[in-house]
Amino acid sequence: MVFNTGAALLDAIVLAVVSHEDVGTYGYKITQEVRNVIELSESTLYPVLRRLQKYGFLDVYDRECGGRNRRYYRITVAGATQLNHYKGDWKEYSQKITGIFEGGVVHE
Amino acid sequence: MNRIEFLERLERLLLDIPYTERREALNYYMEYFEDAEKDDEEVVRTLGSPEEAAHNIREELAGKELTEIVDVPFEHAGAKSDYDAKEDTSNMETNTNSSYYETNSSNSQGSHSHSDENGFRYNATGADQETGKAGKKQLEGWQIALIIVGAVVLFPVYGGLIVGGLGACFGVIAGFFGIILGLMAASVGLAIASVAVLIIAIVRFAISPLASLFLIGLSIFLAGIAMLCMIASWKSITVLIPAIWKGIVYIWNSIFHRKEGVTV
Repeated sequence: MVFNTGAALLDAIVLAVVSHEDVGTYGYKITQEVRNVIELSESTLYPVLRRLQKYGFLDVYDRECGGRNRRYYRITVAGATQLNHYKGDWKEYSQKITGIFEGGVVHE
Repeated sequence: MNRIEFLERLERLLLDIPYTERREALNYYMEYFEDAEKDDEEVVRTLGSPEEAAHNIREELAGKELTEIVDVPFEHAGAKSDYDAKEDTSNMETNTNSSYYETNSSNSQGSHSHSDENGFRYNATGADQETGKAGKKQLEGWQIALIIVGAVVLFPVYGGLIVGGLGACFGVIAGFFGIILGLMAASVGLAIASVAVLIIAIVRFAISPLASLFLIGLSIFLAGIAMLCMIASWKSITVLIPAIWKGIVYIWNSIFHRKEGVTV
């Protein structure tokens, strides 16, 4: 893939992945799901999760799992709002790009 | 590399970030190894080096966007490999980030901002940029606090060394100058005494020639000692002062190197 995934797009992808699970999901699983879609170094995901947590878009809780703690990430209301912004922007953006590629006229 | 080695290395690399940040990161990666349910070596292979992980964490803490995922103008992204693009953007990264907050504060309500030539702009809400800024301030405050605490705690060490070293140097220099001055004064005094004794000897020669001969001998002896003192003081100035200077340089170097050893 020659296209880089920008910070905002990566945030959006992670928020989307987390939002799919009502009870939340954990670091390893998020990483694998993101990697199914885009190529990236696995150690890139932790700082993203941490940042989204600091912004208040994700909250965390620990749950017992097989005799140890596992940290779960869950999307917050602010996070869901942000994700909607991202989705809206992405739709507009990708439609314009696709329009250009396929030779259509771009309407502002 | 197994998980213990990975985590220990990561911990060492992150010793200078706040404790809570380090603990969070280490917990995350500890759980990551558990959840992977794979061979440690294999997990490390997909995870990358601890250096890379530490670098990413640090970038995020510094409020920078990750170099790997920084926005790239499309003409570059299309034409070059990821690695080249990364090199390209490392310079413009600071610019991108400095304009980041400004852009958002100018249109914090305009959430539907448009994509510009750099691809996607980070579209933060008001609350989001506030927390981002607070995080940055907190880090700076923490660094300043650490420097102040370090300066206060270490003051007895370097303060004592500096004052003690200066005192010792001053004492040594003053001592040698005292010796030189003493030698000079002694030579002058002895020369005067020698002349005085010679005058007495000449004046009293008629009265008691034998005593006068003894006094002449004494005068010559005093003159000899005066010359010795003179030579000694001259030698002190020409030979000892350079030696003292070398000594000061040596002491200074040893203090300097020891201090360096303490901080490293």
